[in-house]
Amino acid sequence: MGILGKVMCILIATKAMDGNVIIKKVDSTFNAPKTKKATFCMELKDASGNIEKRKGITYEANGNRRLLKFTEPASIRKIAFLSLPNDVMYIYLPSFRKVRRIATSVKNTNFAGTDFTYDELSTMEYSKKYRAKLLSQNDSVWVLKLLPKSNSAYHHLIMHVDKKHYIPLKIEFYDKSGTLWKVLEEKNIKKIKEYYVPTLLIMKDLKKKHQTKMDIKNLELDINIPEKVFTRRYLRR
Amino acid sequence: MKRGALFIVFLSFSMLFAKDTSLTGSFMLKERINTKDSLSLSWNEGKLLLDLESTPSEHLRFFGELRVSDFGTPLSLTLLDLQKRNGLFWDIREAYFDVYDFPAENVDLKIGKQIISWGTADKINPTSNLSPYNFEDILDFGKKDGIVALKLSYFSDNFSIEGDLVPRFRWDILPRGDIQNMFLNQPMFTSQGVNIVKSDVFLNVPDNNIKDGAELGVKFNTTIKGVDLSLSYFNGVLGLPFAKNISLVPIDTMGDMHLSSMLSYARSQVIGADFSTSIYGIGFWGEGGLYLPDEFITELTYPTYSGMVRENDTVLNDPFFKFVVGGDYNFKHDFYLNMQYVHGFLHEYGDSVKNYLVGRLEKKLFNDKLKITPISGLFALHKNIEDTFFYAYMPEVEYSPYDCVRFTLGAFLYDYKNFTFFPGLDKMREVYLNMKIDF
Repeated sequence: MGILGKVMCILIATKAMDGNVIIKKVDSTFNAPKTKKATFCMELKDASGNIEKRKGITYEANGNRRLLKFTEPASIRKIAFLSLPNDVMYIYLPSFRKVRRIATSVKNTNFAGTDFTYDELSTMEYSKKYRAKLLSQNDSVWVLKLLPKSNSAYHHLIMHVDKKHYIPLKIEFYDKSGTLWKVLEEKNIKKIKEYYVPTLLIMKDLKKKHQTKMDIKNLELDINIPEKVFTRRYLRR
Repeated sequence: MKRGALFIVFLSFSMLFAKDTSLTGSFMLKERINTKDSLSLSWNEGKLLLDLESTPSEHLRFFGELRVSDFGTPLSLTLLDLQKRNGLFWDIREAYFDVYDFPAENVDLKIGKQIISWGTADKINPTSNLSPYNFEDILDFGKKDGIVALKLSYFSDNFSIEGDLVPRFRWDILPRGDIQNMFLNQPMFTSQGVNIVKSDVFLNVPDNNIKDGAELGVKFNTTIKGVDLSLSYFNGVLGLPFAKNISLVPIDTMGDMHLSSMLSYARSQVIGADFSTSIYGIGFWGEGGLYLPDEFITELTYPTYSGMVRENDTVLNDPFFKFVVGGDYNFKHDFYLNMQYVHGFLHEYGDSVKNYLVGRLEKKLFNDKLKITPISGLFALHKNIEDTFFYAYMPEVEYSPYDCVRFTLGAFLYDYKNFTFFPGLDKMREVYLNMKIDF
């Protein structure tokens, strides 16, 4: 291999390790299935060890539409959340029999008492929201630093990406002062059809000493989900 | 007996569609103390809501809600009341079928007793006139009851349109207790020397025919450049009564009078529009209704020194406008602010329409287990604020120690001067404790 060839190899290797390329790949891997349908069981645990549970169902399409409905417990049953492109969000409040448009400032607030924000439960598009820089790597994991492109609740994120499946195994969320605030772990990676997907998400809020474990079940990928599911009409059902 | 039969029908559905049927509900205890009136117990209610839902097929859904309230001791006791076990009240708030994609694809039919809720504003919706308001508990305003209706909705990619037909108008439920006077829209006889010792109020509801009692609604919804918009039309009966005849008749030479009033309902058309959107994280909404009422005249008969006088007062005739504009924002550390400017409160029509600022600031703690609302209230806007004002202040603390269990402790305080928003509220200054269990 000549000098030119070696230079090209170095350039390609550098390009391959670029953080922005990696998170784009993370996004495209996450959003590779055109549709997703799953039930979930959330377990909320506070500092005293008290546990509360939430159950529900989610539908996703094209990586930019998501419908989430709670089925348990009774106090939040039928509350439904619809996330559409361009930060358009609706919530159905069964006690008022009404669908309401939500102010986008809700994005950084916790959803229904969990440790996930509305934004984190909306859609997964890290490359649109963050600039990534590769900090380090080993044989199996890239470690990236993600800096928000626009206004965000976080100063930065540290993401550990699995090299084999491009899945973020762990994400650390730092607050504006640079203090570690929340940690998300993605576990139980399963192969469904040709896709690898985590089926257990654990979000820990270190300030509140509270955590939410989200167990994803009955996951179906690339199934036919009619477009009308992602509408206000369906939100009421 | 009739309601008992309805309850059996209600529960029969659960057996009929047992496979895909759920029976859920809630129990609520509401206790209130009037701090201005010798700490009297002003509200004492146990309320049970039973929700029955069944989806026998992908295209068919039944929903029904049965409400049972026990108010304990009646507001005023007679000997007959001593024979009753309690002040139990039954009501089927909703009972309807949804038939999806019927009679054509993208068309939904909803038939039965249902809540039809229009508008983007928060609780105060000038365009929402089909379902009656339930003002039973005035501190919980904005709640609606079901009405028997046929609703047909068509959905396309870019818009939706709904048509609602109500065969028989249903009146708003008035508040319990003496504050119901605020809705009666009758002038107060406060002149010197008049002493009303006897008062009779009669009610005249619209005739049971299509012309007088039916209501119609049409609503068109779309989204343009990220803004949700709708246009609506209502033709029906306003939910609160007006005084049709008022007569004041002397019954002795001491100035004692007999007040007799006949209340009736007015018809109106309402052309409405609303919007909602989010800009720079702030939620914005607006909703307005142009009311085109049929003429409504109050006939007054009262004594003067020269004898009985009869005169007419036109209560409704000219078009009038009611609107609400508002916004909300979620601040850091789980603070939430919601503000609305209101031109025309729920019970105000015609010349009585006034302006208000309504808002609340909430703070959530411990993953939503605790919600504190230190600022919540209503403020009447008036040019001469020193001489004429009204405000109501309603701080509240809500605590949920476990899922499905919620306690609410709050207060209702108000002050006014030369303002007649709540003419019947003179004795109302309350502290309340509610407990709700969902199951």
